[in-house]
Order: sequence, then structure tokens, then C-alpha cells
Amino acid sequence: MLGWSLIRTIGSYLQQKWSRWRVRRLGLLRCLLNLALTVLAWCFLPLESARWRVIRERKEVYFPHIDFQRLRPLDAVRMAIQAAFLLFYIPRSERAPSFYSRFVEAVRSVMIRIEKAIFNSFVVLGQGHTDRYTQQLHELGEGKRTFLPARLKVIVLFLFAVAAASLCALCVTQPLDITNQLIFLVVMWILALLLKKIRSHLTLMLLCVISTIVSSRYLWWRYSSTLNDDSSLTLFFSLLLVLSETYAFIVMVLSYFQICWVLDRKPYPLPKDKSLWPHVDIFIPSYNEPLEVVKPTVYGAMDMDWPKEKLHVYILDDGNRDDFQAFAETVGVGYIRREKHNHAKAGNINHAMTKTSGEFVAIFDCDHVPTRSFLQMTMGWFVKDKKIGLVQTPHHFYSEDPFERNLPGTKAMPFENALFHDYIQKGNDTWNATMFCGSCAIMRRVALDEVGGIAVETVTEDAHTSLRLNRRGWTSAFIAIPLAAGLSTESLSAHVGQRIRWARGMVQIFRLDCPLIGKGLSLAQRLCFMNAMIHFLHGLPRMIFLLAPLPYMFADIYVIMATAPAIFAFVLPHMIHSTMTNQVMHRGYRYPFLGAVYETVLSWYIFLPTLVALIMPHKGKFNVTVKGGTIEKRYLYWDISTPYLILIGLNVLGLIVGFARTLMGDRPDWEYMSLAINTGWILYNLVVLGASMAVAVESIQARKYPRVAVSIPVSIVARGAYQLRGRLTDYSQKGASVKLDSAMSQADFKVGDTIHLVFDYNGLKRAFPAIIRRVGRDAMLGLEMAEMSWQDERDFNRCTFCRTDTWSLENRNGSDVSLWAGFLTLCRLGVLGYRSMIDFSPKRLKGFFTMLAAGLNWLISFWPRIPNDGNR
Amino acid sequence: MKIIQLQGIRSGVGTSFVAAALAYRLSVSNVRVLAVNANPSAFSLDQSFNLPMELFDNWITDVLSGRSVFSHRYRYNELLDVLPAGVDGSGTPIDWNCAIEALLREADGHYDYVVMDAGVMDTSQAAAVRARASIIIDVMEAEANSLMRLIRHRPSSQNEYYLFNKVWPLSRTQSDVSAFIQRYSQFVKRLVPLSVPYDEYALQSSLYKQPITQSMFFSESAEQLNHITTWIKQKLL
Repeated sequence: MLGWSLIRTIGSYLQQKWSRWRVRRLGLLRCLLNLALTVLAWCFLPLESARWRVIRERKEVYFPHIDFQRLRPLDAVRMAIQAAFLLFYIPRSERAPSFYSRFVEAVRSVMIRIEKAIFNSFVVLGQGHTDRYTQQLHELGEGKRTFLPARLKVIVLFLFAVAAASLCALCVTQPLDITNQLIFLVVMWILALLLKKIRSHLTLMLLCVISTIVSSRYLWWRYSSTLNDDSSLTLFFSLLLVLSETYAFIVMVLSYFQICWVLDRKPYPLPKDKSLWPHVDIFIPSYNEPLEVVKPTVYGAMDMDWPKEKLHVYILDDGNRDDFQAFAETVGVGYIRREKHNHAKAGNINHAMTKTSGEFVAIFDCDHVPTRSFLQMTMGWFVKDKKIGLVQTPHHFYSEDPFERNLPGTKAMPFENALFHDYIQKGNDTWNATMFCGSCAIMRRVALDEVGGIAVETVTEDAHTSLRLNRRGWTSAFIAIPLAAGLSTESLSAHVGQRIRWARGMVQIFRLDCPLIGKGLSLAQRLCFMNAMIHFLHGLPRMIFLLAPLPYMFADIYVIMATAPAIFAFVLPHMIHSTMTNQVMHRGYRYPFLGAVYETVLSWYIFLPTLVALIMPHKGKFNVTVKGGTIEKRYLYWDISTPYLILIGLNVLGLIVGFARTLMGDRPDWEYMSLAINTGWILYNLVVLGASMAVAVESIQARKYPRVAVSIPVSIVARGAYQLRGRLTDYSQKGASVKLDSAMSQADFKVGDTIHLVFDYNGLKRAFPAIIRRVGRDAMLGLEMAEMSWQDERDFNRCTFCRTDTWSLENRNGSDVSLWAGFLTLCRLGVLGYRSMIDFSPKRLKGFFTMLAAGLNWLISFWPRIPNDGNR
Repeated sequence: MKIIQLQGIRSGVGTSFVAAALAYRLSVSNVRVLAVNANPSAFSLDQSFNLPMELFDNWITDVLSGRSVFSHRYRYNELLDVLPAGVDGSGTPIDWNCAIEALLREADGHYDYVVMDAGVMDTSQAAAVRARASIIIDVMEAEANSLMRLIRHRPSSQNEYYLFNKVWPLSRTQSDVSAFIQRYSQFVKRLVPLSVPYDEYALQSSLYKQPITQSMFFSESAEQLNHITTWIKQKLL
């Protein structure tokens, strides 16, 4: 028919097209429609002309979202929309530099020059001062010098404090109209942006001050003019929110105080004379962990660089297991078991203290493998300063925590608890308030005896013990080098369980032994401990934040009684400054905005336990964190995520109701601004809740022994006598992966072959037999270590876990993540959460959501795209 | 001009093997190198550079008869020249001090490095080279005989270092021997922090009559020899 009705060439051209489409199995309707449209196009457009030919040749460039091999029914509409868009689109390369862009460029170059000038004059100077001041702090700590005579110091400090306080009060309470308030805030903002560029302790402190002033001003404004006292109900909601904000403010200011100046303490060298090195007892308490988890820790403890006659390793077995006893006897370490199993880990250690006599006690959780340099790096301070009762090192984890495992693309992010272990503790050290974290720490036996051993009254015995040590006048030190590493909590439920225990314990301490009262602590120590404890009360405030926009959406209750411009003038600066300051402070230790997700995941679960602990501090028992397990199948924890689901549901409902009421005309026009603000708030909440949902999707953890990712040069000996170079890419106690350097090996590998993995240790070669389990591309070999004698296991540990550099080489500093990038990450995680929710929802719902998503995708497909003129 | 001397703590430890590998590796790093066989009783260095076995005229006979040292010089690549010694059949005692002196005098200015394979350390030629070497590498094995000789040995200069060759990674005994040596500071400070492993590839490279750093460049032994070359260059800076 085509051949008959059209000119022959066109007819055959169309016939060709037709058969090509049919061969690709496109639907009949689809082909007919597109063919008709093609004919129409040929009828009305001079497609054969030279100009059109150029366009037709570049169709992939102009219509990047259309697959010309497989045309869809409505592609014509898409092409029309795209064509309309192209009429107005000027490619970037062809745009003439506008006045605006030239102006921006000029300003940028000037700014860069100013920045450089500032950097050269201030920063270098400031950093010099910082170093000198830190040096002086050290000397002060060592009692070598004092700044001023004591009495004069008090007077000067007092005068200074009075002056500062009155200035602050003026800043905070001075009422300003909106315009002046805006001017004030813009000045603050610019100042903060400038300071942010300069990296030194002093500017960080200034940033804290600015943020505190802005936030106090905000709070003052909230209390003085935004409480809604229309009725008792509105007042209730209003007060709830403002109290939560006050709590958040207090925690924020305390944390500023805690980390405004971090003391990066370096290890102190030990005396040359080894006879002065003290005896050290190493305790490895264990309750129900499998022996395989404990073995590397024991080997690591045995292999520490320390005189052998002064190193005493003990396994403190609280589970009365005979295989542990046999193992301890075989390898030649002490084994202590007790009759009465009271007070869990604290009781276990206290019992062991009665059986041993070393001058120092080092405590390792049974999965925390120490490196060989642990004692040499830490003991120097003890020997030098007899007042130090505790040296703590960071907890480092080599297995993925639930956040890392369940949120894809977070490998490069710092660990969830890196902020505390690697950074806040350094700040605590400045104030002599380093907290004992239960593991990877050494304590002086005299000090421990003085406070009656490890505290047993609470479920976080560690923090309580360090509080007591500080009360007795013992000082503490923190060395921020990862010298041991262990296993993270293996699942979200375990993580939540662990945090519930911490939260409950810290609140217990807060009640039973409140750091604010009682003798022996300096003000700074009180504040640091206080912050560590009330930090765990975030459950209720966090939930209030997540629900705060709802009263307005449902019932027009203003929780903040202010006009929209006023809210912008006060709330936004408060948020911007606090986020920015936190970003600068936590640089390299936490992504911006992610703290909210970490808190949201826990908020519901720690709310009740902390409440109970606040009221009845004597309740509650110790639960052991489960470690060393596997997860076979990806699944969603519906149980754990119920509270988030309810919160999500409420927020979505609020959004719908709010919009519905506006559409029905219930509201006056001027309220659109409030609606917009509350909508924005709800959307943010939804994103945070979505990210929390994403954490609740447990992804597979098939390995029983988590692998440590490394890059160590090794070689393998294969087929009897060929030695091949490679790099160890990961390892565990029972397995390893090796990437061979060159594919030019004569030996080809078969699964099941036995080879030898050769390490270079201290210039010696150590070979370990292994079986090939997987031969990957790019000369990757998956190995399973063969059965080894305990001596070989110990040597293997020496070559892997106990290397001094193992943990410090790991590169996961989310350094310099901009606020924007952090926000995008948060959004990505939020979307991920909703997607996995759909994946795991019941079938019918899933169908609905899938359709919804498909529909959305379909709508988006009409959106015009920017032509990819990369080849121009 | 730096003179790198290699000498075996006893015969058969692989001195020439290491010397050839070093010389080749140096030449690859863009310096002019002269590899000299100063051990007329053996022709293993010559073999490593694939020279014929029937060489009777060589630099030693040239020196003795007053000819230029370079009369029998073989160019291995653009930057590496080899002076073979072949087998000396004459049996007349040689004044090694004179010979080495003449050699170095003539080589001076033409080369950046001279790699001397001096054979076993307690011979007169080794002593003659030692007097002029910038660095001395004593090649040995991690086994009892070498160990006994090492304990008796008195290093002649500050720049004398010990290198383990033929290290078989699966051997527990070798590992124990080197662990033993590492316990004594007088040895540790002279120990090259690397060792040359021994495997099929090392054996094959000898059959191919090429330095291992050339023929089996991908092997672990070659890799370690590369590192050792770098280490020596650092020491000679």
C-alpha cells in the first residue's frame, strides 16, 4: 500500500523502517502510530533539504532521551516538547559572556586574591599562635609553668567574665525590628563565612561564639515573643517545642565548649632504660563470644612490643567455658574464671584485679585486636606523669556498622561513632575529662583501687569509673591514634540495643552520681561529663521536632507565634550558623546533616529507657552486645521501623490535610507563607525519616569473619615453586584476597589448589598455606586460609591485624564535604529509604507504589533534556 | 663514578646472579654502567650476559700485556658495558691492585657506576676491589655455613652490608636463621633491609642467560632486586 500511494524511494524507505521496527518486536500499534507520524512529518516538513539533513544527522544529540531504534508511542510528543525547548536553549559554549558572568568572574578573582592575602597574613600567623598555645597548654599540664599569679588570675578572669557577659546580654536581648535584625545577621553571616575559610583553633572558637550568640538571640526571641498562649492547648504545643529547642541549644553549647579547642596529644617517649618500664596486666573479658573472635585479641596482646616478663595477658572468662581454658593453657596466657557472676563485665574485671598484681591494667573487649605498638605508644605518659590514672585510645572498627552496611555509598564516610572516639575525646582531653570507654584503655592500678575498682552501680561502668577517677583527682589522657580495632555491632537491632544500654547507663550516672554536684571536679570536667550524659536524652526532643509542623497542618495551631518574615529572620540564621559551625568542627569526622539521621534512628528506642532511668535509676541490667554473626538475606526490619513508619505516616497525612484545607479555602490568603514554611519543614522531616528507613534495611553480611580492607604487598607461592607478587586487598582470620601484580604468570590457578601466602615481616618471610576458593578477573584470588597450628595463627595475626600501621592507614575522612554535598547525600539516602520501603512492602501495596513510581517516571520522560553536545 | 662491589661469603651463593641483576637494573634507570667480572676462576657473570664461553682474551690479560682494558668490552645495551673475565688459563699470579687500578683509571669518566663481581670475599682480587669500592655487598645464604663465616667475619669498611640471597619463603629454617641474625645489633645495622627470594623464575633466568631483572622482570626476585638497587643508589648519594 505504501509503495502504491507514495513515491517509490520514500515508499521503500518507510518499508525499511517498518521492517526494522517489526524485527525489534515493537508493538503493532506503536509501529503504525509512528509510521503515520513519520509520513505526516515528511508531508509537512521539507525533511530532505540540506538544513533538515544536518538536524537529522544530529538527532541523538538534540534528543538525548529518545531511543530512535525503539520509538515509543508518545515519542512524537516528547520530540515536540524538546523541539520547543531547543528553540529557547542556547548551548553553553555559544553563549556570549554576559555582563553578569563577567562581573561574577571579576568578583571571584578579587575574592580569591583577598582570600590569599588573608590566608598568608592571618592563617599562618594564627596557626603559629595555636601551636605555641598548645605547647603552653602541655607545659601547664606538666606543671612547668603558670600564666599568672593565682589571685591576679582570678581577678582578671572575673573582670573579663563580667564584661563578656554584659556584652553578650546586650547582644542577645536587644530588640531589633526585622530590617535591623537582618542587617545584624547578615554581618554575622559574612563574618562566619570568612572565618570558616581560616583553619585554626582561634577562628573555630570565634565561630562557636557567633553561633552561640545567634542561637541565644533566637531562643530569647522564642521565649519573649513567640509563645502561643491563645489556649492551654496551643501553649502546651508551643512550650513543648521551645523546651526541645532549649535542650538542643544546651547540648549544642556544651558540645561547642567540649571541642572548641582539641588537644592533639602525642605519645610520650618511654625511658631508654627498660627496667623502668612497668608491669602491665592485660585483661580480655569475655562472656559468650565464640573463641574464634577472641583468638586474635589474645595473640595481639601477647605480641605487643613490651618486655615479655612484664607483660601478663589474662582471659577473663565469665562463661566458664572449657575450650577457653584449654586455649589459654596452650598459648600460655592467664585464665581467670569466677564462681559468682555478678555485675557483668565490671564484676569480672574487679574479680580479676584481686588475682593479679601488675602496676597497670589494660582492658580490651574480646574483639578489639591491639597492634604491637599499643603499649609503647600509651605507657609513656604514665611513666612520665604519676597523676595520670587513665589513658584511652580511640575505638576503631574494621567491620561495617549497620549504617555503613545498609546505606550504600557510605564507604568513604567516617564511622558513625568516629565523631566521639576520634574527635570529641580529644576535646575532652583538653579539659582533663577523657572518658573511659570500656576498652582499648590502660588504667593505673593504684587509681583503680582507690575508687574501689570498676564501678558496678550502672550499666555503663566505664564512664562512671572515669568520673570517679576524676573526682579523686586522677587525671586522664587521650591518644588519638587507632591502636586497636574491633567489630562493630552486626545488625541494627544490636546497635539499637547497645545504644539503649549506653543511654540508660549514662542517665543512671546522671541521677546517681550527678557530675554537676559533688566534690573533686573542675567546672570544665562537670560540663564535659554533663554533656556526655544529657546527650542521650535526645529521644523526646527529636520526636517533637519530627512532629512539630503537624499541629499547624491539622488544626491551625501556631507552635511559633510569629509572622513568616520574622521566622525567616530568626530561624534560618540560627539553623545556618549552627549547621555551619558543626560542619567546620566535625570536618573529617561526620558528614553534615547525618547526625540527625543517627539520632532519629535511636530516638524512639532510647526515649523510654532514658525516662525510666531518670525516674528509677536503679533498674536495668547489662546486656552484652552480640558480635561475630552473619546476615544471610536482605530484609527490612519492620519491627524496628514501626515508629519511623508511624512518623512518616503522620507527616504525609499532615501534608495532605494541610494542602486539602488550603484548597478548600479554609484559610486566609496571607497564610500561604506559613503553609510553605511548614511544608518545607515536613519535607525535611520526611527526608530524615526516609534515611532512617534506609538503615532499617539489613543488607547481606555473608562473611562470618568480616574482612579488613588493606593494601599490603605480599607474594604467593603457587604450583610448588613459582613466587608471584601481589597485594593483599583484604583479610580476616580465615581468609584473604590477593590481587596479583601481573597477569604474566605462568602459573594458572584452579579453584581448590593449595598455595602459600607470603608476608614480609620485619624483613623475614612468613608463609601461610591457603586454598584458592575463587579466581576472579584481573588476577584476583579469593583465598581461604588452611588449618593452622596456634603458632602459625599467631604469626598470621602478627603479619596482618597487629601491624602498627594497619588502622592508621585507613582512609575514610569525609574531609571538606560542603554543606550542599552533605544535604544531597541526605536526600539521596532519604529517597533510598522510600525505595526500599516500596521494595519490601506487601504485594498489593507494592504494585500500587510501583505503578505510582512508573507513572512518575513516565511523566518525567516528557521533560526536555539539555542536548549533550560533548562532541562539538 | 661509584664502585659497587659484590662478594660472596662463600662460593655458590649467587654473587654473579645478583651482580648481573643490579647492573642491568641500573642501566635501565638511565645511568652508564660497567659490569666487571673480577673473578677469573668463574665465568658466571659472563654467562649471565649471554657471552660465549670460549673467551680467553679478556680485560685481565689486556692489563697484563699493556693493552687497553676496553679491548674486549662487550656492549649489552646502550648504557651497559660488560667486561668478561672468562677462564684464566695462564696460572701466573696477578697483581690485582695494579689491574684494578688500571681498570678504574681507564673507566673513570665514562661510567656512573661500576659493578664489580669479585667472587668469594677471602681472595686477593676481592681485597683489591674492597680497597676502592664505594659500597660492598656481602652476598650470603640463610644457612649454617654462611652463618658461621658471618660470625667470624670482620667488616672492612663502614659501607659494607650483608644481603641474603636464595631466600626460600616456605623455609622455616631460613626464617629462623635470619631471625637469629636480627637479634644482634652488629649484624642488624649492616643488614640490607631486603632479601632476594629464590624460586622457579630465578632458576629459569639463569638458563636464559639473562639478568633476572631483564628476563623475569615480573618475578618477586626481580622486584626485590629492583628495590635493592634503589636502596644502594640511596646509600651512594
